Amino acid sequence: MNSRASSLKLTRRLLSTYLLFGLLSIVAVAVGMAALIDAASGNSAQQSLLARLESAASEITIQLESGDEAGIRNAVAVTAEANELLFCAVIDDGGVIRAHTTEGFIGYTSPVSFSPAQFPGMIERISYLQVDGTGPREYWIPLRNEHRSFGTLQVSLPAQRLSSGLTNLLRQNAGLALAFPVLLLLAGGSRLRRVVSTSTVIGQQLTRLAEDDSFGLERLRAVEERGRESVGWNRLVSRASQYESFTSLESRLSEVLGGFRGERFEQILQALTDGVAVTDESGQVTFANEAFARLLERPLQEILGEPVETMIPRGGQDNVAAFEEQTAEPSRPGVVELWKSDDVADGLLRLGRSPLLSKDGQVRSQLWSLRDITQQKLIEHTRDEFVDTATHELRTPLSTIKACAEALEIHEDVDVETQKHYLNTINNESTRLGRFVDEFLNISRMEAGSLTLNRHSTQFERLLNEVVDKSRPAMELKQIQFSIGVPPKLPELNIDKDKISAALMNILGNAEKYTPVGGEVKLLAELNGQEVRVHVEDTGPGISREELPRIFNKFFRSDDHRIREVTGTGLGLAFSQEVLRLHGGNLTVTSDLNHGSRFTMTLPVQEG
Amino acid sequence: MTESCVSKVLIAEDNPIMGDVLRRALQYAQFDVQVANTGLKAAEACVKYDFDAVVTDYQMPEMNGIEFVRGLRNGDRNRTTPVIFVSGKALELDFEMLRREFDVRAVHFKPFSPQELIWSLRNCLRRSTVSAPPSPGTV
Repeated sequence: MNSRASSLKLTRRLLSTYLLFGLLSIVAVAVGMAALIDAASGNSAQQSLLARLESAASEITIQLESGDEAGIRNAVAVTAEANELLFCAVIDDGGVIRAHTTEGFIGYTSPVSFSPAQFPGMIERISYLQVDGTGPREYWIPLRNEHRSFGTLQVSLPAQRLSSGLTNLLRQNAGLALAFPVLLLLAGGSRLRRVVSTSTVIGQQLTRLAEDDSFGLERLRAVEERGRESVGWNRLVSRASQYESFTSLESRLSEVLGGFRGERFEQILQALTDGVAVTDESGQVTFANEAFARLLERPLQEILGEPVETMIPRGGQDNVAAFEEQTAEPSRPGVVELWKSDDVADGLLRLGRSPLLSKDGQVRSQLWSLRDITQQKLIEHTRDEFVDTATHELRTPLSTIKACAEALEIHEDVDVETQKHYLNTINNESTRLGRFVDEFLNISRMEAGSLTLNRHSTQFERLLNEVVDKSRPAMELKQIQFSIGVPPKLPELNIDKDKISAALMNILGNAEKYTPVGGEVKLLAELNGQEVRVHVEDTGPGISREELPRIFNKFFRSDDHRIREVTGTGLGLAFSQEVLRLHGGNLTVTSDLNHGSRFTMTLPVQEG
Repeated sequence: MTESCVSKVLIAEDNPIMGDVLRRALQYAQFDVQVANTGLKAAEACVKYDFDAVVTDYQMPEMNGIEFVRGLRNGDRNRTTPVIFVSGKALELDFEMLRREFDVRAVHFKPFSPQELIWSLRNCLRRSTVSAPPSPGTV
C-alpha cells in the first residue's frame, strides 16, 4: 500500500518535473522563434524603406531637374513625414544643403558629404552615437538621372525602426539567449537526476540484495534525504546497521566463547587416556587425540585424513572381518575388539563407533573411541580362572563325600573297617571344604581390600608357642622331627594375633603336609634390629626355580606330583603373604629342589 | 553281562582319596579296577595292559585327561577302548568335541554319583561287545 503510494508519488513528481521543464523549454523555444520571425520582418521593413527612399529620391531628382525649389522642399518634407525620418536633406554636389526638414540648415554647407561620382550606390552610414549600435542610421542616396548628378539625398532614421526591441535585446544578449534553454535543460536534467537518484540508489541496493546472497545488511548505504521514501530508507539502513552490529558482536562473542569452549574441549579430549577420533562423511579422520594415535601405535599426523579401517592392527585374530561386520551400518553404533596377536597379554583394544547426527538428523560423521582393555581382559581371565578353580576345589571334596555316602548307603555287607574308612573320608573332606570356605572368604576380603587388621599388643613368644602346640600333633603323626629355636626375649608386637597365627599355621601346615614321613621341620625366631623374623625350614620336595616366583599367587598349585598328591587350595600362601604385607612385614621363600624350603616371615617392631 | 566275565577298568584320577573311593565303588560293582594317579601313569598302564574301559579325570598333573586320551587313540593298545571323563571343571570340557575327536562315551561332572558312572560304564561295555566301536575321528 505504502510502496504503491510512494511509487505513485514518485511518478507524480517525475511527471511534474518533466512537465515543468518541458513547458519551460517550449516557452524558451517559442521565444527564440518569435525573435527569429521578428528579425526576418525587420529585414523586410528595411528593404521596403529603402525602396521607398529610392522612389522618393527619383521624385526629388525630377524636382531638381525642373529647379522647383518649393517642390523640392515639399518632397523632402513629405518623404520625412511619410517615413518618420529624423531628418531629410538634399545636398548638391558642392556640399551645399539645398533642402532640409529643418529649414534653417538650407544654404549651409554640410559637414559631411559624399560625391555620387565617387560612390555610385546608396551609402548606409551608421552613426555610432551610441556604443551599442542602437544609434540613428544615415542613408546617402545619389540623386541623378541618365545625364547628370544633382547631389545626394541624406536621410536619418532611428535604428529601432529597422528591428524590434526584442530582436535588439536578443542581438545584444545572444549568448544568454542561446544559453538559456541549454541551462534550462541542464537544470531540468539535474532536477530529474536528483529526483531519480535516491530511487536509483535504493533500487540498486535492493537489486544487489536480491541477487547476492552474501550481500550483508551492513553494506546498505543511506541516501540523501529527499522525500519520505528516502527518510524511511535511511531509517531502515540505520536499523539494519544496528542489527548487523549486534549480530556481529554476537557472533564475535560466540566466536570468542566458542573458541574458548572449543579450546577447552580440545584440552579435555587430549587429556583423555581413551582414544577419541571423529571421521567425516567420507570416513576420513578429521580429529584424533594423542591417545588414539598412541593406542594404534601410529603418529598422529599419519592418522589425520585416513580412514579408520586402515589403522586397525592386523593381529592374529580376524580383526578386519570383525571390524567390517560391526561397522557395516553407519547409523548404528558398533563395538569391536581388536587383538594385537592371538595372546591377550600382547594387547587388546576395544574400538567403539557411534554415529553423530547432524541438525537435519542425518549421519554425517562418526565418533570413535578406543580403549586398551588388555588389563581388563587379563583380570577377567584371572577371575574366570579363580571361579573355575574355586568351583573345582569345592567339587572335588563334595564328589568324594557323595561317593562315600553313596557307598555306605548302597553297599551291603561292608565290613566295619571299610565303613570307618568311608566315614573318616567324609569327615576329612568336610573339614577340607570348611577350611577352603574360610580361605576363600579371606581371599575374597583380600580381593575387595576389606581384609582389615585388629591390632593388639601381643606377646610374640606366647603366640609362637600356641602355634607350635597346635602343629605338633600332626608332626608327630608323620614322625617329623619338629625343632623350635626361639630366643628368650622377644619384644611385644602390635599385631592382629589371629591373622598372624593363621598365617604361621599355614606355613607350618604346608611344611608338615609336604615333608615326607620321618623328615624334619624347624621353626627359628630371631630379633634382627627393628624386625622380628620367623623362619620355617622343611626337608620337603622343595620348589623348582620356575615355580618359585608364582607360589604366592592365588590358586597356584605346583605341577610337582609330590605336591599334587597332597590336597591344597592354592590360597594359603597368598593369604599369608597378604597378612604380613598388611602388617608392614613380608613373607619370602628360598628353596632347593628335592632338599627343602625355607619360608621367612618378617614383622617390624613398632615403637610405642 | 559282567557277571561271567570281569571287565578291566582303568581309573586315572590324581586325587588319591577320590581315586580310592572310586576304586572301592567299582570293585563293589564287580569291576577289575586299576588306579593311576597321573595322566602319565595312566598312559604307561595302557601301553602295558588291555582295558575294557577307561575312566579319566580331566585335570591331572604332568598330563591332563585330553592329552592322555589323544595318546591312547594314537597308540596301538587300547586304541578303541571306551573312555569316560570325570571332571570338576564344568566350563572347560566340550563333550561334543570329545565325542567327535576321541569317541568319548560320557562325561560326568563332579560331584557325580558313582552309581551313574557304573551305569554308563556298563552301558558302553554292552555296546562295545555287541558291535565294533566306531573308529576314532568318526561319530
